[in-house]
Amino acid sequence: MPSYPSKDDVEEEVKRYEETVRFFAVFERVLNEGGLHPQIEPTCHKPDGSICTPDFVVEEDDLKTVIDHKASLSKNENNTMDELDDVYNKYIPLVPAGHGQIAALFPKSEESAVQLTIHLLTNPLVLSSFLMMHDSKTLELHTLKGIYLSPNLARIMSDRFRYEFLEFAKYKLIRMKPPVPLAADIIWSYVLLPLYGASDQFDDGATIDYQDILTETSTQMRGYGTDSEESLRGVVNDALRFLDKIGWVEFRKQDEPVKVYARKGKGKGQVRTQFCEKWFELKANVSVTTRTEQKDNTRQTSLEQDNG
Amino acid sequence: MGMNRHQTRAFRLSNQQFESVSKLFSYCTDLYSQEKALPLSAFVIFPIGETTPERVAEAAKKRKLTFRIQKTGGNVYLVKVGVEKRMIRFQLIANKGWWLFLGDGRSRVLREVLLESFIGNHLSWALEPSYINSDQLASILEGLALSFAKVDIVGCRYYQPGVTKLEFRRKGFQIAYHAGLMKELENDTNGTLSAIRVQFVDSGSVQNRVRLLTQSQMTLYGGFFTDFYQSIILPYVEESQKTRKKLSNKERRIDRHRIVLNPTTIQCRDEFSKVQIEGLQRTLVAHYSASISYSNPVMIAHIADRGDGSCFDVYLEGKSIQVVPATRATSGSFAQLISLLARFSPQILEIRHETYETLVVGG
Repeated sequence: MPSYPSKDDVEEEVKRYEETVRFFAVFERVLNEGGLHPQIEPTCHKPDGSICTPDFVVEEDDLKTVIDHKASLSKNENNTMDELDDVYNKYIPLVPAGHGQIAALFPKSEESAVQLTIHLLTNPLVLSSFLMMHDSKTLELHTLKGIYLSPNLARIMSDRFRYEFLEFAKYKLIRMKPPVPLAADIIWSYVLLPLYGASDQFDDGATIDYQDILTETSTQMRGYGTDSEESLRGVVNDALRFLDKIGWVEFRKQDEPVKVYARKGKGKGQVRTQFCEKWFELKANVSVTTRTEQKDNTRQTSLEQDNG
Repeated sequence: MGMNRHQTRAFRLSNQQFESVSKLFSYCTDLYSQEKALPLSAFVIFPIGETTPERVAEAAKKRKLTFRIQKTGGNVYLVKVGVEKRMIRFQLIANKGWWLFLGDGRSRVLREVLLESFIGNHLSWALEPSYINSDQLASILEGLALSFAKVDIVGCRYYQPGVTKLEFRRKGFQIAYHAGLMKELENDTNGTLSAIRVQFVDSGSVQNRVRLLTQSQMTLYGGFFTDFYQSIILPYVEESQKTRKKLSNKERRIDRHRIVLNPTTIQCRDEFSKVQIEGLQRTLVAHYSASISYSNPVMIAHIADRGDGSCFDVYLEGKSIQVVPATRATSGSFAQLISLLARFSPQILEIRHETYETLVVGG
């Protein structure tokens, strides 16, 4: 697990993931409208048997382009080059020789840093930048190095596109694992509270079926229906474990019902900010057991003591 | 009519038992035409699904709230509603599809106990407050103007963005109603109407004095109860049912490989100022489980109603706010959110409901 020097770093990581999901939602539409129907985060098998999930795979005629989206690049020049080299080396086994390309897509804010070291790059990686401007609702794409062999893609990757905020409501998660505070926020707001609201148990907390939580969370995932819920279990479990630790739910273990508390001050105010703060605090003292498990352990110990 | 406070208490509607709606109405007609009574507040509430007064009583008991019911005849109940130590009595007419709570006394207290505390904080999954917008409020007045010889607006309350302006108590506020008046008032104040006080007189001499709110409540201060019921309550029910229908079943859903979104857009005359956006953010955070991820000059937020679990994405930019119902969205919570957003909106030009579909699958 990463460690965070400050709470702001947690918030920054959450924001980066959220902006990535928004970018996916808009870029997917742009590619579709451009006649390219991308595969997004597909599971790909390399010749050596290993598996990878590139962000976008675009096929036009017999040309295959793998595009890797980077939410940020390293601040260090040498590391930046290493990162870009890694992209190329990671995905080159997926591309048939002479019939495809690898591209890295990074934020426009990193463009000047990349420009400084671009001459050090020895592989034919295509480099493009993106800028999402929420004020003008515009996505700007710009290609710095290389030429896309796919004509439609070449046109798209040096153009501007309008988007609507509404597109951000399509989905909230992609296959890339979200930061725990963000997953907790999504699951709290779009899954637990609606399930809690639909039940009429209330007051002392409502008990929600684990499978319902898993199913409902999967509908917030891009590609719903194409992915099994299995792959989401880790995300859901981490989020529930975190919510348990801060006392918003009671979660014992996977597949067991979860008790949700939305009253007595729970869930009020800016939940995202609260989750980032709590997560930062917890990182200083990470424990593998949940609050509920701790309670059980305490109970078990006292029982053992009682018995002799 | 020269009655002191003690005498007035004897005529309280909430002390009576009625065998039928017609007897209740006759009593109200006598009482209010003689001006002996305390103001009468009527609340229109929608029961959700299979909710009955008995089920509400049962649910209230479980939650240590009071909803003591006594069926006095037909669909009329004498009800005692309470949260903690605050108890209020109502006559409840449980019509099919909508309930009418009638209570006398201080309208603000009735509202706080029934709407904000009992339903808002505890029973919003079973009972839904009703809403109309300012255009629908104007449409009810339009109906009044067609039926009565003289209709005067004697007070109004409107929201300027972020500020509640009360005009009820301003002396000498009296304007004869004419078509388009409500829009003129909104233009003059650069606000959105949320309540009006109106006097209307038929060809005789009886003067009805009524206050009408956009959220659930109507109050009769004096006049013919029958006029109040026929010309205010029933049109209000009709309009609020339209609102309910318009805002029902709007959740995000995935339908045969497509994501279907049903956004509602509030289009305003002017752009939101920084102060208005900040005020709106504070209000959302105070009322909801909220996550506001981007702000000034646009705002991107998602909020969830802790009362009934409804959740929405909210996007503000330039002159508009867009609300996109997410996993769950009851029409009551949706209407409440729109009403809250309207308070912060620089004069609403239009509220648009749309549907947006997009392909989900892509691999």
